[in-house]
This record gives sequence, structure tokens and C-alpha cells, in this order.
Amino acid sequence: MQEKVTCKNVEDPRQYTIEGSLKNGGYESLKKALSMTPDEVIDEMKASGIRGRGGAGFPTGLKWSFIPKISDKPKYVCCNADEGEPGTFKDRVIIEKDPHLLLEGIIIAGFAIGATAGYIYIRGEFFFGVKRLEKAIEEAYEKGFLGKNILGKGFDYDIYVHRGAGAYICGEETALIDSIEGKRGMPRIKPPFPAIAGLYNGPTIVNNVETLASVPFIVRNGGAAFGKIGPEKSPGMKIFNVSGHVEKPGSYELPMGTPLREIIYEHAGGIKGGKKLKAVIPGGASTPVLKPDEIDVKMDYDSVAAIGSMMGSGAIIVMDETSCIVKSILILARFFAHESCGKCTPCREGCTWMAKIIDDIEAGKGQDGDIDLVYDVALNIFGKTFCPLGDGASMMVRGAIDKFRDEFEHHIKNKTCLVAS
Amino acid sequence: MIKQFFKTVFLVDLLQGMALTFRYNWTKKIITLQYPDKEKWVPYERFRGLHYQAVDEEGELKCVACELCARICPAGVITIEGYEDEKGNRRPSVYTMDLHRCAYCGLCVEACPEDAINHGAGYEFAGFKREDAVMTLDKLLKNKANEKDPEKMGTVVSARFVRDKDGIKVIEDGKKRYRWW
Amino acid sequence: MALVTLNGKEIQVDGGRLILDVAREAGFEIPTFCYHAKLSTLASCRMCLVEIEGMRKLQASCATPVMDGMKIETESPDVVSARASQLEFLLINHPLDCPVCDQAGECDLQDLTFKYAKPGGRYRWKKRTFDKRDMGSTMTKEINRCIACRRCSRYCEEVSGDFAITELNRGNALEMGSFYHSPIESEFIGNTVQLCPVGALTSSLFRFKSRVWDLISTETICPHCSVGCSITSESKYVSQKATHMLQTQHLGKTPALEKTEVKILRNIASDGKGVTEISLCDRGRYGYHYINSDIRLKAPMVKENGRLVESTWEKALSLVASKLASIKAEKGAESIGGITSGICSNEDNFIFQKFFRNVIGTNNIAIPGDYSLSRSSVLRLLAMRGQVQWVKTADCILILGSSVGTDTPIVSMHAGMASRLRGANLITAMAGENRLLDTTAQKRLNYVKGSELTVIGALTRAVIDGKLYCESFGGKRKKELDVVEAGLKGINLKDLEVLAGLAVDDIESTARSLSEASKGVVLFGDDFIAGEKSEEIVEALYNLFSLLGYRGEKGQAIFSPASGNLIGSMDMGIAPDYLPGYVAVGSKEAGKAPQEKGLDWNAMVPAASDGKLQALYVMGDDPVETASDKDKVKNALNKLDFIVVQDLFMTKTAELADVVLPALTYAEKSGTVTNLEGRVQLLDVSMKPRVDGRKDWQIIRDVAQSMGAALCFNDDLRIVDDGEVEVLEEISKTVPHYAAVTQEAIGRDGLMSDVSGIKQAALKTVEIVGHKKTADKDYPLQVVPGRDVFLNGSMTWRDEGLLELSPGPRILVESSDGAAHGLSDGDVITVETKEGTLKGTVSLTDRIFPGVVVVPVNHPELESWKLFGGKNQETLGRLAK
Repeated sequence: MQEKVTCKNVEDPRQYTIEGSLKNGGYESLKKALSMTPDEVIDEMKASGIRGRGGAGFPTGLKWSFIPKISDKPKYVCCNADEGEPGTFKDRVIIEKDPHLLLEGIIIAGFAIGATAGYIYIRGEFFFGVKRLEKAIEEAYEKGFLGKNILGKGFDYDIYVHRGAGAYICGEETALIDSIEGKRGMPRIKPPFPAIAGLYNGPTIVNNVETLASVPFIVRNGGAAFGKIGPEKSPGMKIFNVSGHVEKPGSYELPMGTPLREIIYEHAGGIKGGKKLKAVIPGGASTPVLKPDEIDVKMDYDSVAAIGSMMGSGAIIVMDETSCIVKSILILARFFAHESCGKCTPCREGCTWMAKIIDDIEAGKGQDGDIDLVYDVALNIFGKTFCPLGDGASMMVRGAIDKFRDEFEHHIKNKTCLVAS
Repeated sequence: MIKQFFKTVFLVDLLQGMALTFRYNWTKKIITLQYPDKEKWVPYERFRGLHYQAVDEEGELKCVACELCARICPAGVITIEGYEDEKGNRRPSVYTMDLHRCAYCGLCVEACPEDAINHGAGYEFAGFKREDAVMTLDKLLKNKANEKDPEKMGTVVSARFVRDKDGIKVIEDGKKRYRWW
Repeated sequence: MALVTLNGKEIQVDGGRLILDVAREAGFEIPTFCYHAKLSTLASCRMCLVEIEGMRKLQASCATPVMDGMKIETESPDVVSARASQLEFLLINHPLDCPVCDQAGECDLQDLTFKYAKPGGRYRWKKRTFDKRDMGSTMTKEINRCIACRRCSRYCEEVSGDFAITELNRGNALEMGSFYHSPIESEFIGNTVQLCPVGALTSSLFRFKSRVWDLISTETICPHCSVGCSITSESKYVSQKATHMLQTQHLGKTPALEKTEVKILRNIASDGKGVTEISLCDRGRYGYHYINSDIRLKAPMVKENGRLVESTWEKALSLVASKLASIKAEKGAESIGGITSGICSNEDNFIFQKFFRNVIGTNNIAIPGDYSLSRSSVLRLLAMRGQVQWVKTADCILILGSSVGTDTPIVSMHAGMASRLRGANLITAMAGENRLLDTTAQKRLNYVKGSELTVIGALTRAVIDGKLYCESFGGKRKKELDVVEAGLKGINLKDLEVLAGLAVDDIESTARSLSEASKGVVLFGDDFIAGEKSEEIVEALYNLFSLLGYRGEKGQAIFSPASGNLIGSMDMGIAPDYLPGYVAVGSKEAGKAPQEKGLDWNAMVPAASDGKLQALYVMGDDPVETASDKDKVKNALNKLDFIVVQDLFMTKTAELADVVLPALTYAEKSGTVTNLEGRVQLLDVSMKPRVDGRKDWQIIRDVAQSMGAALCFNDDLRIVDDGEVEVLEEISKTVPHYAAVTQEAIGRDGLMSDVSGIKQAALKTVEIVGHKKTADKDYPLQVVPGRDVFLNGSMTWRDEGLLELSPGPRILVESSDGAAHGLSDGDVITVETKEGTLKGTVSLTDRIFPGVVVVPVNHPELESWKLFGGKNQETLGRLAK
């Protein structure tokens, strides 16, 4: 069994305290990192081949290396803990059970890029997580892992927790930065990328909680050790959140490339009540749905992309034969309509329109041609929006229609649901 | 030659013509309109007659002073000035049509987005003063009396000729109405 | 340089420029909504998407810079369908109320839909609607029409800086509005109406009055302050037969109609012309109603049996001519005085002074005001003609006095913008209201009104003590430095706190910032140089700016008076002691002009009282209303034998007159005006005269003719109605720094008059004695005369639009003072000073300092002059409910 990276100590009930964390080897990697040069840390990150765990899968080492070495503005690390994707609950595990691991990762990241402060942008609803994090930060300051002259190595670093106010869009890195700055959370124009001008116009890296929580492992064991796990192109361990109609829903940290079938049927205990599988959403709300015959796919960025879906944040939503696809898609479409920030035209207007059409179809008020209409609207959104939110909504709807068109047609023709529920 | 001579002398052509006239007098329907003394012609529905302003069910003007009619008018007949009424709606404070210039082309009616300006069935434009042909908003509202009634279009209606201090009028009494063909 | 391929056409462009700009320059059309060259890039409307080879998605051309080798398609099938789909998205929630929408005809959405959208609609659901919200008296918000381009909120954030309009809610419920739907308080809000590409924000004052295609546009210059913004006045023939008029005008025929009436229906900013960049202040934008006003003088009036009755031009002119001639013959030319106004055009003022000097034979001409300057001081002001462009690019800005903000809002706005967007160091020193909100100014100094000279003295002292002056003053110009320093013996920085209420640190750091700036600007307005010591203040300012090197490359000083053409009238020699072109009276160059100095306004009032002055000719001014001591002026004028007033309205002064002659507004005449930069700009005729009036200079010319004298056109008596060109010709011949000025040369951007040829005298010692701050236990508050942004003069008081815009005369009380007195907005209070009491409505504000009460003095309704004992200077007072 592969050693876990981020969830290694989450079972330990005292892990959230600094004593518990130190007992399990917490902050050892920080000590090691501070004895290295920042460039060496970045090189280890590059060697590990880790790709961002937030969903886009951008190589993290590369992202860090984009930060200019010399800058007249202070540099920042932003930790994206705005875990808003429906079906995703991986960051919450780390924040609540092992906050020190995350802090350690943020401090190492700050050291590597020469930042002066780290911000944890946490989802507003995570009351408990905020409490745990704030307590952990307090403890870290007491132990000298944060503040001035960390571990006597002359590195000054602070971490602040910033609570979001409940906007999905603030998980987008530039919107997150705007939100921390106290502005409306709306995506910014790129370029300039945050690596050049991010938070308060300083060079900034924005990384997911899971990515940053993997940093201590990489520093401790070397990038190569991390790179060995899983497929070559997207290595490492990944937390998969399985929810929906399975026997044992929950978070499972597994190597990348574990087949989806194995995750559902072995780790999550199979479909609840032994029913038939109907559909799987492999990576959170914005990824196209998969049919049962596609679940032999290996769960890594490239393999999932190869069959036309996305690995996303690894939130696997399982639907059995009793669930209505139209209704599920309606819920997601409403989610996107509600969460569109309103900045760009196609997403603001299009997501609401899609939700309205699917609402009609679901309620049995659909008309002939509505499926083509919603498909066309989704096509008109795709690739024209300012940020990926609209693209996600578009892909989700189009994926569902591509694979389950018959259900939509049944709703329009018979004004009832295909499944008896 | 001689035949022609006798024909001329005995007025054969004339008698033939008269015969036809007398025959028509007895056999065919009379098509002469006794206008304006006894009868009046109501034109067909497509007729572009005197304009009128329509009102909605509550008696409020339909016109929103969008000036599209004024814009499209090829003769510059229409003058509009808008204002905001108590309810916050756009309404015309001035709506004047100088019918001297009007070609009755009907473009204003086509352009109207609110079906406010319409062609009525009226065609008696003559007046004693130039102002008679300048239609103000009040007059256009009064002209609604000329609204086309699909039932009555293309008929002849009994009417009476009136001359008083306001001018001359041909007033329909509606006692008799018939299709003329 | 970058080589890009645009629709198959290769072009060389500067790298880093936006694709949109490059494509438009190359003649390819790219539609946009949210893009505005003067605002930040948003790239949210997605109309400008283009296809770039090698890029997976379409790119927003308004946000993507060109790069070498880029292959761009602006008309590919993908792009075309993307445009159509954006329009479809925008239209699903856009109401189809074009017939009642004021924007129709100049609506971007309408135009682009016609051009790029697919026909037909596929949306059959209910449209999104918002609640109707009030947006104040000048703006109507139809937010259902909004396409969320956010031009308005970006304008309010970036340009005006008042955040009056912002985004509310999220996603499909995104609504532009004021924060918490509170009433809007902004003097620039009218600009958002012009910026709005659809009819979401429309002007209440223009609402439903006309369709835009019926308007006749004329580019002219705003008369309301000395900035001289380029505006487009849009008028319409409002009459029973308006359309005939319009259509026959296009055909070049004059229709024979009984009655036509022209009205200006709106003013809009001529973006990019002259000094104008997007913005006009609302005073300029909505201050056109007085032109259309029915209370304008319609015909000449002559006093008969103590009452003014309508008369004819011939009668009135001959009366004026005979009366002036007889007074001149009996009492001498010196007994006739003339006052003009800073809003009359250069032509008016030139002819006015020519009439007085050549026909009457006196130098008794002046412009009444809070200050009167002698020739030497006016020459100093010549050195303080900075450029508005400097304010935009400066890195240190000092604003002296609150009238910069209230009288010339645009300059003040540019200062705020420089501070907000480029981090310029903005320092404000004000006694009264600070229109630049505290968030904008890096440092706020509060001096006691009346201590302006002390402030300048202190700054000069700090410059000298800190050796912050230009290098040359340490070396070869040391003597000049000594000259300046000689006057500063009474100034000790340590006493300052007691003297002017200023902290030493603030003064020192301000002096340092000004000295260290690579591009500095100092702005000051009317209220800073007002008072008895205006000469000394101007001289002291000149000394300070000379020491700092604020006379060119390093920094500039800008004098920004309220009157639209005050600078021009100075150039035209409206003064008792100099002729056009600043030629001193009595000097060799003066030629035939009277050799003796005349009376200025401050001297004319006593002269009228004791009978030395017999007649007064008033052109466009209302001294009885605007004087700081109205009773005194009124009594003096009452003693005069003969008063002629030519004005637009029956002003308080006109009521005293023997002859009143109707003049024309800026919209009805052409001519030139000179703005605070010295930029000569062209007025254009926006409409034919609404009354039987004549242009100011024509009236003077006609009076002169009636007196048997010729005035212009090479002493030819011929009457030319549109003779401005000839007058301008004469001006350019007479005034050396207008030598290059012709109507063609001015164009729509204006022409800088070149004052470099006018020599400045050497620095002079200005004796500065520290101003003593007085205190009185019974009168704990400082009562400061202030000015209203919207109502600042005779035209604006009679302007329906501005009257609606202005909250009315308000006594400004600082919030904490208000709380201490238990006041809330709208309460009626009494302000008591030793000189008098005044009742008025209170407005609580954070824009003034604690302990200060600001009472507007330019409101005829509020008799505030009584509070200040006829001096318009700060005084001590208290509040009573």
C-alpha cells in the first residue's frame, strides 16, 4: 500500500493540535526546506511533477518558477480553500483534521518564492475549519514556525485567514485575489497573470489546499519519490471524494491513475443497495458526465480528458438507475446560473437561460426543439466567456445531452420522467 | 349612301342609343350615387383615408411619441413633441399632421409600433380655411369617428347634406345601406 | 514593431497595442459595448472577440495586445456567430421598448443588432426585471435595459472617484445602482448618461423631449467656468411645424412658417476636443435652461416715470448715446464708468474697452469681483497659466482654496484622478468645503480663511529654510532669494499653529513634496486670492513658484477662476491701468488711449456715492447681487445719474438702470473665449436668437454709432452683423500674444495664446505678517463663505435645470459638530455672527473640518452676505436651532 501524502495522519484525533502534529513529524519538512535554497525547493517541486489539485491541473513547480526572483512589490502565497464545487470535500478534511500540514505547505511555498505573507481564502461556510485554522496559526506563531525569523533562518512570514462570503466564482484565482483585496469577486483580465501582478499587484501564486498540503511530503521525501507514484504525466496521490449512490461515500486518498471502477466498486463499496449504475460525474459539477461503460477509465488528468471529460477536483458523483439525469442536470444548471458572477455576457445571460430551458423540460413544459436550443445556447457560451465558469456549465449540459438525450426527449414527449421516482 | 341619308334623317342612331338608355333604365341596377344629397360611399377596407389616433381600453392615447411616423414620413407632415405624463409614460404633447402635404402613402401607419396612428375611412378633406387641414391631436382623436368598420366597408349609405356655420358636412343617417354592385 | 496579419492583410504596427485599436485603424470594424478608450479594460461584453491563429478560443480584442506574427481574423464564421450569439444573449433580457427609449437612434445595442444579429428570437421565457429606483433629479434609471457593460461604474470609480454608481448583486441579477440605492451626490453623474451605450441611464431633463435624430448639433464652448470645456449643444426647432423646419433646412430652403422657436435640449461633451476628455461637470451639462428661459429680456427697456417700459432699439440707443454724450460734455469723461463681466467673449470685451477709451475717453473700466488686481499682479497671473494636461500627468498636486473644487470641478476632478490612478501626491489646503473627498487627498490642510498670505509665507519660509528652492537661487540668483526672504521676517514656522491653524510638519512636508516632485502643479482659485490683500497674495505666490521653479518644465501653477472668460477679458485690457495686451496706461505704446489710470470697481463704488461718477455702463454683470456688501453698492448706484445695463435677465442691477438692453447668450453668438490655460477657443452659434437681442459687442458698436463714432472695421461705419471675424482680426493686430489667432487657426481644439513675449518684473519683497487667529468663547465656530457647485452666478440662478440639480442653499456643518448640536440633514438652523444672523437649511458633511461652518455666498436666496459684514471673509459664529 502506497504511503499517503495528505491524509496520512487525519485519523489521529489529536493531529489538529500542534503537539499531535509535531509527534507525527509535522514541520520536519519546513526545517528541511529552510535549510535548502528557494530554488532547490522549486526544483524539487518541478521534479515531483505535481499538477494543481484544484481542477485545471497546471504543473505546480512551473507555476512557482514563474514568480520573478526580484520584485519591488511584496510577493504573496494564496491558498485557495474556497471549496465550492458541488461534490468536493477534500480540502475540508485537510483543513479540519490536519491544518498544520497545510500551514507547513504554505510556509514552504512562501519560502520558495520569497513571499512575505500567505493568505488562506477559505469558504465562508467552513466555520469549524476557520476555527481550527486560526487556532493552528496561533500555535504555529507560538512555536516560531510563523512570524519573524522563522526557525532562526531569517525568514519572515505571516499567514492570514480570509473568509469568503459564499461565491463559487471566488474559487477562480483572480476573483479570489479581488475578493481578498476587498473588491467584488470577479475574474480579472489575464495577462497580467497573478505570477506577475496578483494580490495587491505583487507577484502571487494561488494554489489549492491539497496541492499545498502535498508540499511537505515532496520536500521531505524528494520530488522523485512523489513522481514515482501513479502515471508519469500526472503523478502523486489524489484525494477522491465519492458521493451519491454508493455504499461508503467519503474521501479516499489513492494514487493517480486508479481506475474509476475500482474507486466506486472497491473503495466506496459499490452502488448502494446493489442497484445498477447509471452515470458518474468524474470531477465535480462542471465536468461532463460518464456512462457506465466508460468507468474503466484511469483517474488521471490525461486519461479522463481522453474520453471527453475532465478529472477536475476529483469529486466523483455516482448516480444509480433511479436518478433522473434531467433533474440532476437542472440542479447543476441552476447552480451555475446562481453562481455566475455577472461579468461577461454569455455566462450571465446564457447560464440562466439554460437553467430556464432545462427547468421547462424537467417540468414537462418542454417543446420540440428545446434540446437543440439548450445545446446551441451551451455552444454559444462555450469558449466565449471571460473565465472557465461558463465553459464548465456549457460542458456539463452538453455532456449530459450527448449521452442521455433519450431522457431529455422522454421528458418532452411524455411530460414525465423516464425513471419512476 | 342613300341608306346612310335615311338613317341620318330619321335619327336612327339616336333612337338606338335612346333605346339602350331606356332599356338600362328598366333592366339594370342604378349605379349613380346621390352624393352628397342622399347617399354616401363608404370605401373598402384597404382605403387610406383621414388619419385618426387610437386609444386603448382605458381611453388613454396609444401614441408614445416615438416619432417613427414623423421620421418615415416622406413629406414632413407630422410634428411630435413628447413629454412624460403623470404615470411616467411617454406621450405626445403635440401631435400635428399638416394634411396639405400628406400623400396618404400610409408609411406612418406601417411604422407605428403601437398601432396608434391609423387610416380611417374618411375622405372629406375640403374646408374653407387652411387650418381645417392641419390635424392637431384633438382633431385626430375626434377623427376616430371615421374608424373603419369591416362590416360596412364598400357600401353605400344613405346620408344627408348639411351646411351650417362650421362648414359643410355629409352626415350618414344609416337608414339605408346597400352594397353597390 | 510587430508584423501582424489582419484578415489576410499584413501590417506593421507597434507591438503591445490592442488588436482592437490596430484593427479599427486598419479599417476593420469590431463592435464593442464595454470598451471605452478612456476607461480601464473590462473585456466583459465579449462583442469584440476575434480569432487568432494558434489560440484555442476566440480572444477579446480589447484586451489582447498584438504580437509579432499574429494572424488575426475579424470576420471568420466563428467570430460572426460569436457576435450574433452575444447579441442574442443581451437581447433576451433587454426590453423591446425602443419607441419610448431616449437612446434610440444613438444606441449601440440597436445599431449593432441591426448590423450583426441574427433575425428572430428564441427566448420565450419571462424577462428579468428590476424594481424601479430613483436616481436623483437629473437621471432616470431604466435598469431593465442595462447590458452590464459597467461603463458607468468604471467612470465613477476611475474618473470622478465618487463611486456614485456601483454594481449591486451578482450574476443575472447584476444591477447598476447607487450603494444601498441611496440618493446620488455627484457633480459628474451626467457623464454616465453620455457613456451608457444603451438607454439604461438617461437624462431626466432631456427625457422624452426629442428624438436624437431631430437634434441639430453645434460644437461650442461651455461658458460656466474658466476651464472652457468643449461641448456639443444640441438644439431643436420646437414648434407646431418643427419637422418642416428640419427637413427644409436640409434642402436649403427657408420655410414660411408663422412661428418657430429654437430650444437647446441638451449639452454633451465633445470628447477629445480642446481640454475635454469624456467629462463635463453637471453645471456645464445641464446649465443650458436659462437660454430657453422665458424670463429673459425680450426687448430694450427704458425708464419712464420711474418704471422700466419696453421700447425700441432706436429709442433706447439714441437715449443712451445722447445721455452719455451730455454727461461727458458736462461732467467730463472721468465721470463715466464701465463694468463688464468675465463671461463676455473676447470680442465683446475688446469692443467695450475700445468704446470707453476711444469714444468716451476714460480708463474707468473694470470687472467687479472679490478681488481687483493691478497690472503688475495681473502680469504675475500670466505666469500662472498652466495646462490642464499637466494636472493629469503631475506627480504632486497642491490645491489652494476650495473654489477650485466648486468653481472648476473638472480641474479638481483631474487632480483627484491623478492621485487615484497614478498615485500622485495630492495635497489640499482649504478653509471651507473640500470637494475632493478625503479618501482622494493624501494630505488635507486646513487654514483659517483670511490667512492665505500667511500660508504662502509659511510655505516660502519652509522652502527657504529647507533649501528646497531651485539650485540657481543658491548661486547666482542668491540676491533674488534675499529679496523674497526679506518679507518673511514676520513668519516663524513655530508660531504657525497659532497663526493660521496649520501644523509645522504639514507645511514642511508640503514644501518638500512640491520641491521634490518631478512634475508638480499648484492650483488656486478665486477664493484664495480674494480679499483686500489679493495683490500681495498673487505676488507672494509668484515668489513661491519662482523659488520652486514652478514656471515651466518642473512644475506649473494654474489660476482657475470661476468666470468663463476672465482670462480673456484680462487679455482684452478690461482694467483701469492697462490696455489690450497688457500695455500700461500712460506708457509710450499706449498711443491715443487716455493717459490717466481709471477707477477700478472698488474705487467706482465710493466715487458713485460722492458724485464723482455720474454714469455707469454695465455689460453682463450684476454687481448689486454679487457684491459682498449689497446695501453699499445699491446705495451707491442709486446716486448715479444714468445707468445702462445690457444683460440677459432683469437682474437686481438692471432694476436700477435707466436703460436695459437685451443681450444674447453664448449659444446665440459666435466669438472667442480664452480659458485658464490661455487657450483661445471658438464659440459657435447653436441657435438663432430667441429674443430681439443683440450681441454685446454689437450693442456697444450701435451705441458708438449713435454717438457718431466708429469703433471697428478700419473706422468704417458699415454695419456687419456677423462681424466677429473682423473684430478678431483687429484683436490679433492689437494684442501681440493673439497675433496668430484667427478663426481657422483656432479650430475646435483651440489655440494657445503665446504669452512668452511678455516680460515679468524682478521678484519683489512681499511683507507678510502672520495672520492672527482670533477666538471668542461666545462664538466658537468659524463661519466660512463657500460657493455652490451648481448655482454660482446670474445665469445659473435662473436655470431651471440647475435649480433642480442643486439641493438648494445649504449651510454645511461638519458631522461631529452637527451631532454635538443635535442636528440632522434638512434641519433649519440659525447661524449667528457678530455682524448678523442667517436662517437656513443645514447639510451635514465630512468634507469640511470640525469647527467650520460653510455658508454659500453665491446664492441670491440666502442673504449670507449679512453674516460677513460685507467682506466675504471668515468670521466667528455660533449655531442656534
